[in-house]
Amino acid sequence: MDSTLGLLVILLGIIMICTLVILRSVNPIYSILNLIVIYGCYAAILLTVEMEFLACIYILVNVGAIAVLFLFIVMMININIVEIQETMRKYNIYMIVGIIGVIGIIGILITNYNIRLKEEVIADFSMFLTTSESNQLTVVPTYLDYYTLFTETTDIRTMGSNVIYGSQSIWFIMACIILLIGMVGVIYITEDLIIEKRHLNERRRQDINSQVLREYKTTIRNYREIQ
Amino acid sequence: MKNILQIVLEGGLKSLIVIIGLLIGVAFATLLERKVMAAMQKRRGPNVVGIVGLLQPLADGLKLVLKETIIPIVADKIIYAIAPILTFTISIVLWSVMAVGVQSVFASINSGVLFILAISSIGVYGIILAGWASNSKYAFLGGLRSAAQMVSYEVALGLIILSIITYAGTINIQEIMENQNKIWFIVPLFPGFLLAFISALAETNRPPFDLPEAEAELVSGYNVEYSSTGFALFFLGEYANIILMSVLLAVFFLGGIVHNKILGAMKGVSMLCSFIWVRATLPRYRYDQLMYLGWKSLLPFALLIYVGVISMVLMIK
Repeated sequence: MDSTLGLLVILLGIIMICTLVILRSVNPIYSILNLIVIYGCYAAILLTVEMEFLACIYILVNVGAIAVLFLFIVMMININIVEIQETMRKYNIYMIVGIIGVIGIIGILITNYNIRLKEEVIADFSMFLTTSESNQLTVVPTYLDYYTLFTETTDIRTMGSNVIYGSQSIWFIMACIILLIGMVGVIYITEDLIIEKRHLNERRRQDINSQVLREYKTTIRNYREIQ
Repeated sequence: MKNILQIVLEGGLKSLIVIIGLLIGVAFATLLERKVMAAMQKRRGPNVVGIVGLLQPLADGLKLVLKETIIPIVADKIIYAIAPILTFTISIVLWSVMAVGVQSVFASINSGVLFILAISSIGVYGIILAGWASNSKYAFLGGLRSAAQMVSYEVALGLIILSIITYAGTINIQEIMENQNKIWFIVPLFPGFLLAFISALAETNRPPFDLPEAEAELVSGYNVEYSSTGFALFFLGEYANIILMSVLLAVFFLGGIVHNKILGAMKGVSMLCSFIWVRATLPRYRYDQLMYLGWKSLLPFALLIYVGVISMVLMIK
């Protein structure tokens, strides 16, 4: 067995076990801890194909920022464990189907995994393509051949000069726009609440002038007089 | 098979050298701290055990290990055991990419600076988990405080490191050291150095930002429930992080360790002494002041420095 393949099998096994634990564990903190282990395994898989930069960024963003916030929030929420157990029972049937699917995917990965040439990949999918299309695909410009680019120089250089700010910059920009929409959407949803709160505060504001000018005769009246 | 054996032996020996050196360094860093503070406060400091107190750290370590290990009955026992191990392991792993010379390094990887940033961001988990698993409110509050502090000051430190990367044009630690042959980065990036120093103090939970360990308010922060070996591991991890931060500052701003190793070590020790100097002189911050400083003062300044460095690099090109 190839040593890289063996490592990959071990990592995928860890990921699978951790996924099961995430789904089945009653305490959400255990779920998040297992999520962190999965992120670590993904980073290790990226390291096996010599993409140090991506692996470091993956850990920095997912483990260092996102999972910490999850953990922070979940720790401070008071969780009703009995309720969670009841809702978990509903999903038991789907779990069996899911496990069969995951086993199938992992089997395919184990039997078919190696870093393949582009021609082989295209040959696998050639039945879905017409001959002219597959001929077009085999002649790929060098800037799209990521694996060779990544192994030729350092991966950060390739990503900077060729992928993110080069041929694939449109996807980068689109990701930025989606992020912006997400931020604006959150502000829009909570805007009504903010405005309502502001009105409430305005109503509560102290009017010193009217308070000082208030007199006994004008404010306090006899009940009969009003009638 | 022979090849694998050779790799394992070589890696094991190398890591053993790094770990033993680090542990001895940590032991004497605690002694250095007590001695320097004593000198600043006109005392003698520890001078009973061994010659001028040189064996004091060994005696302290022995005392810690021989104490009784207490596990609270309500604690989450697995996570309670894992948390100090995690803190200690991560503080050791960080040293694998620190270069102590042009050739002498455990692993010279291309993205060394990023590796340090990524792994040190995992270090927060040890503290959060220790606070949560103890199942005591003091430990929990201490853990939350400490984690919030470390996360928020990591941003400013990351921006300063980013501007250094931009200025040096590389993310390999050895190349950053070699690029400072003509002029140390402290000269063009002096404001960055000050900001990085403050952030490093907050990042390692040192005074004046030692909120997690505020004895008067929180009894001792996240490690309240820990005794004996667990506490010793937290202690070792903390001091290993302090030494790492001082060596990192020396590498990024003071030229690092290129030719003369004694001179290079002196740079690191001088940074360590200035950490202790700050501890002996400044009073502790209040928590809201700490957050205000982190998000509203250091972060905008760090962004400003980054913009300045980018424009400087573009002008030179």
